[in-house]
Amino acid sequence: MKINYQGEPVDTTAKTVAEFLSARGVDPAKAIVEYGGEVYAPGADLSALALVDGASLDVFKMTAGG
Amino acid sequence: MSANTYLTPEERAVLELARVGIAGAGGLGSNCAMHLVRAGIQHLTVVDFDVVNESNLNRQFFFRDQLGQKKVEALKENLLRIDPDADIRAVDMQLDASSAQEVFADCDIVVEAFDVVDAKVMLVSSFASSGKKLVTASGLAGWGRSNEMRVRKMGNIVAVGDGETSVGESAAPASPRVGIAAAMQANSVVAMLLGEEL
Repeated sequence: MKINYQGEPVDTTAKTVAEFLSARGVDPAKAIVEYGGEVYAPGADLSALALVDGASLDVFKMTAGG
Repeated sequence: MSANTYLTPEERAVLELARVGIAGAGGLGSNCAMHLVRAGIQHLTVVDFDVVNESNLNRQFFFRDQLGQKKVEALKENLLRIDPDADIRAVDMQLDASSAQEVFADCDIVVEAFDVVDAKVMLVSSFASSGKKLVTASGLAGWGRSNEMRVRKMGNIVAVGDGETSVGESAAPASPRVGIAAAMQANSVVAMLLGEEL
């Protein structure tokens, strides 16, 4: 299936948002995730969030520095 | 009367009534506060528990003769030099998820300006479900790549920075890029208060 990740079309075989992010090395405990119009705070359980063809997924990684 | 003589009466009325909370008075927080006061914000709640160190002077809005001072007190001094009428609530404490809700209860918008990831995560998680507007920043280390710095609206959270670069052994925090992020945070706060596009 194809989803829009960070505004770009991406092919994936991942079944869930958690699986997709894990494959890309994104730690959901340290990221804000927006999927399907919903915003998920860092640490939210994304394992039951099914990926749907054509959906948009945006991630903002929280990193050290200030 | 605020420090900004360019404001329309309508803009002045909005900005002079607003209270903005700033969690952390380091590179992000001190510079964001400076921009906000220059923009015309007159009520700030600034929270930090640290003192001004030599290593802060490469990017933070402090001066050499303030070394050793509590950051919130030094920042208040500096902000009052810009606008002597500003109401700066300087809170010397280390925030947690519960105290952050109390300290910023009367703030219209809160700025996350911590440097440690766990503290950033704590504050964002604390406010994500509250509905209060929060402006967070991540991805501001190193030099160059100015065009990778951007503003994203994610529900009640506005996230600025490149969202990738972490301060560490290969990338230090420096004034230009930290300053861009701090200015983007301040710009987002003012835009939200005035109902302008982010």
